[in-house]
Amino acid sequence: MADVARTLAELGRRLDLPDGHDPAAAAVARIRADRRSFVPEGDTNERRARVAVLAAAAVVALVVVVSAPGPRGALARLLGVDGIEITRGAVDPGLGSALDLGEPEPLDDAQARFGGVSLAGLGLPDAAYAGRPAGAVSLVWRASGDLPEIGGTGAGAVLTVFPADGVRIGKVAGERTGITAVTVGGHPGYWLDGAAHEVVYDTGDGRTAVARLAGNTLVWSDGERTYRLESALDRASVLSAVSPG
Amino acid sequence: MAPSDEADLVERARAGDVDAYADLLAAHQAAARRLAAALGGSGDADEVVQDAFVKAWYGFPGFRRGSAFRPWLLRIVANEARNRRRAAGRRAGYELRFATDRAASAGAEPSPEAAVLVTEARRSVVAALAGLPEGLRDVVACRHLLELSEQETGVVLGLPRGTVKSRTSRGLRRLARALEGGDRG
Repeated sequence: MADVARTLAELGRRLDLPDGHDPAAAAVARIRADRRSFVPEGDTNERRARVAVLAAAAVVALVVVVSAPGPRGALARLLGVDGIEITRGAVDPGLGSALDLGEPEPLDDAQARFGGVSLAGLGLPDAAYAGRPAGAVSLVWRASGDLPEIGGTGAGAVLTVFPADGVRIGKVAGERTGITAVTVGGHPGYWLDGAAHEVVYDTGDGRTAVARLAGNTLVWSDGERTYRLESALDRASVLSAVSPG
Repeated sequence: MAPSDEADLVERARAGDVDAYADLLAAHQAAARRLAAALGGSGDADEVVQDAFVKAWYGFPGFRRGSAFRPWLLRIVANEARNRRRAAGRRAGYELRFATDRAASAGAEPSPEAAVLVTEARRSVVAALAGLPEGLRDVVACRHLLELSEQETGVVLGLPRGTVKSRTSRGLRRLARALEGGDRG
């Protein structure tokens, strides 16, 4: 046994790793790129500017749902998904390139808040964030061979959960964005695909909204929580991956 | 790196200083690469390390202030290597690459015959190591291939020290039997 241990130690000292590879530098580059893709926490002017552009876009929109607080709930219920409003309108391609999901959150804590909802076949998420919009928690899967990247974000899938009535979400969809009613585990939802669309979050307490480019998106509500899953996958793949819990 | 310097870098990194984090990673990259190779094979080691370093950055909220950075970081690397190994399932091979004798012995090149014998001996050891159950292999690799202490092996693999000790002993016995050609488990 001593011989085996000695041989292993000798081999270990000769363990060869290729020269010129610097995974630390690559990781730091990824982290810096991730940080660039996030709107700084305090940059409310930029957010206001984004919202202003979205508001201008909404003026020329073919309005499916009006986002006034009063009729909002009723209209959302008419659509069948509390907390989601879908407005068809023009899209500013400069908007939405930023993921803005809040602060990093320990994965275990974040996953515990998803009420049993899981995504089969995606494995464990790579990052979690909380707080954007208020009360929301998001899990992020990095893009990979089986999970195409969402519009240059580095992410392959983003699953967000938020209280169904705790936040107002307007989704400004371009005219080339398809909107299809679906059911997810018996719960009502919508599938948005096709052209890029923009997402506006309004926390309802006077704070500004967040906009970002979205991939194909599935939104559904179980009555207590609203879920939003964004990816570049097609509808069949997404619907088969979601386990509503 | 002096402990006080590292503690300062850790505090700055925790506060969001990417440059400080880069300095920390540079100090521990070699150990992380060796660990990733030892647990998952040489092929994916750099990818494993890169992903683990990104996850560690986002996992800083879970880092206990005042605790040692290196074992915490290496544990994330070990988890990433093992997760990737599990995800690959049966397709996963376990292959280790070693520096040539000339590179390792600064110019004293062995004869071709000696080189073949050394290579074959290495192949046998790596094949025997690959044949161990993963729970034993990981511990033996950390303890003897990487020469980590029992304590550090326990932290990195998330095992009690007693388990490290018993698995090391069992793993070495099985390796010895396998190399003698009589492995019966």
